[in-house]
Amino acid sequence: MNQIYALFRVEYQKLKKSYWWPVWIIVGLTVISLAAVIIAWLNPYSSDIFFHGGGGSDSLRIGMYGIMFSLSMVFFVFLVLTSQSSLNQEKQLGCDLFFRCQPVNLWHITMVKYLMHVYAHSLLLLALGIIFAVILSIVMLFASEGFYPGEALYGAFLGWLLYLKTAMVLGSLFFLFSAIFRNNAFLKGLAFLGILEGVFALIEAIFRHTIYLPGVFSNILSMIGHLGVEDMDSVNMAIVMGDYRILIGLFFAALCYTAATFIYKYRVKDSN
Amino acid sequence: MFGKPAEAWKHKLYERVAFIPDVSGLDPRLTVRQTIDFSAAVNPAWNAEKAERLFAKSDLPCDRKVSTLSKGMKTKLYLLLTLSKDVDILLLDEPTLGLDIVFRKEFYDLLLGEFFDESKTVIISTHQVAEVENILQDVIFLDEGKVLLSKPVQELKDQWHIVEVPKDRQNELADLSPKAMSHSLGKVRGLIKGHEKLPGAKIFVPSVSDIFVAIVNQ
Repeated sequence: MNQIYALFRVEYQKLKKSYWWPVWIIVGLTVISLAAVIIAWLNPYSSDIFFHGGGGSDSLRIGMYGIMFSLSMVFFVFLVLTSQSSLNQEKQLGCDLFFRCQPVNLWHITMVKYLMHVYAHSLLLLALGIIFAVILSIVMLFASEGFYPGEALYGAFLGWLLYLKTAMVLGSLFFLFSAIFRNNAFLKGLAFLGILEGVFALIEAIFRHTIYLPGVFSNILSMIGHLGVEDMDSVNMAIVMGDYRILIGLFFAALCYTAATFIYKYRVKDSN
Repeated sequence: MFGKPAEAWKHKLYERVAFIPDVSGLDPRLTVRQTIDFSAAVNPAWNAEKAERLFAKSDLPCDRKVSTLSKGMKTKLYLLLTLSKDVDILLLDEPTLGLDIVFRKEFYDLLLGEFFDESKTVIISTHQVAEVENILQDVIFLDEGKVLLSKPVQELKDQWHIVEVPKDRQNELADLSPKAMSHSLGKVRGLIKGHEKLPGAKIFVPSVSDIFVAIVNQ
């Protein structure tokens, strides 16, 4: 247990900057937005539009979902950066032998890396979501729209779930890329998938579209499911969780992790 | 290894074997303290008391990032981390590569002072044979992955000797079929296997690297 804790701790120490950068970016953007809101509030005409343009619990839930959607985009950039370097960065930094020559199970090492590189950002997003939900509820209270912290938190939770699904599918894929490619894993992985998609399209064209091959990108994205953007006004758990495809996504994530670990294990032997 | 094939031990092997690679590859993103804490937490063979003593004696700055340390300091940190573990075998792969002479001396002094006792084994893989020659008990010569020789150093040195004669007696020396010859300041030296001698010649004990070169060239 002590070993697992040490692995988590050391991964956090290595990735500290990439965890906190999105938080500082969001804090910075929020401060700028708040300044704009305060300026608008001081203006008697625009304050009518800003603070009395509709309200209620639904709008709070939808608003929080939209805010989480925006915050997720910032976090997603850092998810790409960290997950694509999960299993190859130590090789690049020339320190993989140090970690490899410790009496630690390889599956434990990759599991901790997988969790810290793919999912750890989501905890910060959740924390930010809760803070935003509380602040927004209080702002709404002062704007005489009622006090609905539960709805705000629910909206934040739905937005967080959507990010978690995206991280699960795409983050796991990038984690696999990091085991295959020694550098620029994200770009090389995308290029590989693009070539695969092109080859499939070519085969279909050669056979005059009498055979059907699955779309690579569309199938990967379908595992994330519904983004809930088109029907944001009625967004709820059922829409965000989607259908059976989330189970396929879970299976895909497990497959990516397992394949990445086996490749990493082979690469360890290969470089000995 | 320890009664089982090395593969069968998997990661547990590193509870009994420690390794220092040719490049002091510590993670540059961590501080010295974080690196020590990590090693202490994942190694069941970590000797906290010994580690505390070793690091207290050293001049390593615990709050600095590894990336800011000099190559010598990084190697020292790696060595101290390794010496803080109670393992049976220490494997060193070109441990002093790129280090200046002061650090090299300190490295081997620390190694012999802190790690070595009758129950432990140090395996050093190196091209810098001269600097470790005095601490070796056994040698294995490898050439292109093949074992050319495996012997105790003393036995090896008893088998070989260097014969030195003036230049005008070069032919006499050549009759002994030396494995290698060298010329210097009016003298000729030949590396001879066996106990053949020339009257009036000076005899020297060869270095391990002299013998290695002779064997590889055979």
